Amino acid sequence: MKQGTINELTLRVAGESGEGVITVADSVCRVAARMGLHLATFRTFPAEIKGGPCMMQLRVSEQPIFHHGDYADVLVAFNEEGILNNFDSLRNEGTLIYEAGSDAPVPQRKGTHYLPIPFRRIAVEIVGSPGSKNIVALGILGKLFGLPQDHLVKLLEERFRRAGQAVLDNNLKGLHAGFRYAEEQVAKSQLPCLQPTSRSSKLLMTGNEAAAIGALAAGVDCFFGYPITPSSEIMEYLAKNLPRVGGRFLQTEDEISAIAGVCGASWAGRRAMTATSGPGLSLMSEVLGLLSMTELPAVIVDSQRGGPSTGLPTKTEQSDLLLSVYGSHGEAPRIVLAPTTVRESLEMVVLAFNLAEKYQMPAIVLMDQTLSSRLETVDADVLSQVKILHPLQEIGTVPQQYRRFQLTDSGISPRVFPGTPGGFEYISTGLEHNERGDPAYGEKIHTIMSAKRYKKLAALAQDPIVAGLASTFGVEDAEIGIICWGSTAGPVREAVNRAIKMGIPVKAMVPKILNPLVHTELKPFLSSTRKLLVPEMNFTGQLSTLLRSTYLVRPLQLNAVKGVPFRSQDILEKIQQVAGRSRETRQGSEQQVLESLGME
Amino acid sequence: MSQVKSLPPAARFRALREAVPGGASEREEKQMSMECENEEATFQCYLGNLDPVWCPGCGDFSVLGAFVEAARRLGLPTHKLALVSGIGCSSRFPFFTKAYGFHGVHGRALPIAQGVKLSNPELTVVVPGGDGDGLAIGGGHLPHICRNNPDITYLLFNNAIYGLTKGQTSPTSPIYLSTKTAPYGLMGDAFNPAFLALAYGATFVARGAAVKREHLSNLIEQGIRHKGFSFIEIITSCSSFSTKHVSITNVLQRMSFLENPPEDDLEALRLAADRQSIYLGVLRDVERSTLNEHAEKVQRTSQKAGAATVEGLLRQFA
Repeated sequence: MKQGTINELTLRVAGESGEGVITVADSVCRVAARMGLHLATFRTFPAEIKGGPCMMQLRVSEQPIFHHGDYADVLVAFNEEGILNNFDSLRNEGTLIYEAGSDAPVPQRKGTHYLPIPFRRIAVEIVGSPGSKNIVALGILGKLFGLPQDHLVKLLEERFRRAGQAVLDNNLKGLHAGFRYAEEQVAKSQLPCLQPTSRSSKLLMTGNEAAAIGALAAGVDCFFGYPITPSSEIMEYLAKNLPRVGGRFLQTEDEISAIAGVCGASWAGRRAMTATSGPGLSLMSEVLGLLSMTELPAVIVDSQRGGPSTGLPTKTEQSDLLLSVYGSHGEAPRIVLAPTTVRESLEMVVLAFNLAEKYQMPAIVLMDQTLSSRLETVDADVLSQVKILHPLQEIGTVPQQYRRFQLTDSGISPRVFPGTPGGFEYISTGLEHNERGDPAYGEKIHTIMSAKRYKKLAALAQDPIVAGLASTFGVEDAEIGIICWGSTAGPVREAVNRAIKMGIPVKAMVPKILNPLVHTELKPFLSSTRKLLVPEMNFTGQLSTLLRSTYLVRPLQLNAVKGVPFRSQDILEKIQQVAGRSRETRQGSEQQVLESLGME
Repeated sequence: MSQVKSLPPAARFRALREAVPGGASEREEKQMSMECENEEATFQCYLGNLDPVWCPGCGDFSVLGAFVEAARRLGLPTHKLALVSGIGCSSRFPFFTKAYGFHGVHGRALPIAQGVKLSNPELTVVVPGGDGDGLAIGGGHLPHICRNNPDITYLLFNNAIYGLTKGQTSPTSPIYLSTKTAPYGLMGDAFNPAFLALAYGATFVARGAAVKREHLSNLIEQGIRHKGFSFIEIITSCSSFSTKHVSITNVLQRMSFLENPPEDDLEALRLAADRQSIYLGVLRDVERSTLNEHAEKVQRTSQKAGAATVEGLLRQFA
């Protein structure tokens, strides 16, 4: 029988943490990337340190993809909990692969295929240890999905070579046992098969790894940080690799010390950064104000998680936007960027360094748990697109006339780094100051200097560097327009495509710069939109708040704080709802906002 | 100069600064071109644009004088001098000196200074700050700075009170002091800063007093010369909020000078904690790998198989 081929597959693997769930899913990803396919993943982490339910979903496609998929085509569950927790995420006609012969009740559903496989028995019989059942499963999945055997073998060699020949041999035995079992026992027609592409193989990395690589590409000199989920991998990667390219790394005693170190290094003229999550950003907000006041560049990556307080440390949310834009006492301008994909995480960190340096203020890159932990394929030539501005020190003036905070048309003043000889010595202070940097609290000076600092944001919004950063898609003259940010862009893009296929015209814009808002891109979109929909993974609608107050628009909100990303289905349903009420009154819109907030 | 001596402190500094022949305008030019990089450097080279704003009778004038004298003797080039401070009366210090200065937020001077030093080892980094800045709001950083051992000199002005905010309790306020925030008596015993720094493992710990300027100047000079973190507790007084009796009288009546650092840590701790005598001098002077040395070692270790490139690192994701 000829095996059916597909160009797309969504696979979910679930089980107890420690059963090798991630190894299976991760291996499928690595091989698919080497086959030149596009892929994106989603995984959840148990809050426990050891044990607890664990899941990873991956979606592979010939076409570029922006989302890990709503429903799995295939669910592999190693235990009962894995089946029960994830069965609803398996599409109706999907295939459930599970441990054969266990007493666990399996939910029955018409249309769903069931494929019990004795992973454990094969592992014990062939390898001699039940622990190898995940490798047996990998062999079976590899055979069923048409993953090239030599790729899988090579991957295991890379992974287990260090553990010694015996370990590697056992794993290879398990893999081949899986191949044989699938060959002999499973009717192939049940499952689709992935075709290798002629395209070159792709890089596979997480959002956190991409952010760290972006920092290295931007020439970061110093990293200061304090561990926090879900951003720690950024600091771990840099702890290992920043010294290898000649940089310096310091784990500090808390986030205040981390941002203070960044502040000191930046004042000394070096590119410096930190990475954190919401609780850390809260602690940093005082020094963020100091950076704005002393006009120093700094890059802060915030991988958002559920809040407030300790909240949902391992779950995703988009609730630090307003903290990023406004969080500090007084009025402290800063740049806020929001990547939507792994690749953009790399690019936005580079952009953050460039913009922070040029406009002499902190830049926050807002990621989230989904994006941080998502594995995604990235083109191998990603660095060729990256442009780096080098640190700007201007020693154009004679020392006697040098003013560190000189008033200029753009608001940007010449920077001289400490250590520069010739009589430039000046002081940077968090006190309000005059052009020379000396404290000054006169009636006029605070107004003049506040305006100077904010002028830089206005200049930034018109900088050619940021032109065309927002992505737009959908039907250009549609009445319904969606604005979203960060990782929500993935499901929105899918929902828009599906709505258009259903005959509902809709368009979308994803701004990548959230502070300052770039009027030249947002205004035309908003003025051509009759119904504005803003889906966000937060409770109150933080981008909605910014859009409402800046542009006097009335967005329809779609908010969710479930700790997991939107499904494109959620957004599609909202689009259908909005489209169905095309003659809706203003009152109706308000009603919807209340509903979305759960207040009605 | 004898005329200068009779002036109140702020005016004295102004007079000293302007004592350069030719008056203020010529002074500016002279200062700009003056290379303060050798033993010939004058006191004036290290004075900043602004006159001290401290109250008459404040001990901080004396500390500023002692620091400038130490810098002069060391021939520190002003462009390589980075003064980093937090908030408080003593934290205004960088404004009154000629150097690159950073006056940040309350309690964060040490971690900011650590960032400066880690990123640019060429700079001589000195942190002036008060007991509230360093031991209350910033108290959590001190043990870690001691542990990291960056080559920074910390001048902890201990006047046992919050002066800038006008007379509230500080973590070094003695139990018998009545303050605006403890009108019915203080809670808890005062910190002993030098004792804490010894316990935290600072590699150079000394105690000086504003009333003993020459001695203090020597300590600061040794502190700056020391490779690693130097903690210098400076007992000083607040003339406005009545800690004169706490510090000056105490010191003058009970001080005792150490000729050499004690032989071992226990002896150093005992002397620092002594309740009868106030020991002034160097309590510890040992060498240990500094933050920057460690960073260099990490770079060497990580590059054993050769330095990495970003392109090379990216290929690991293939």
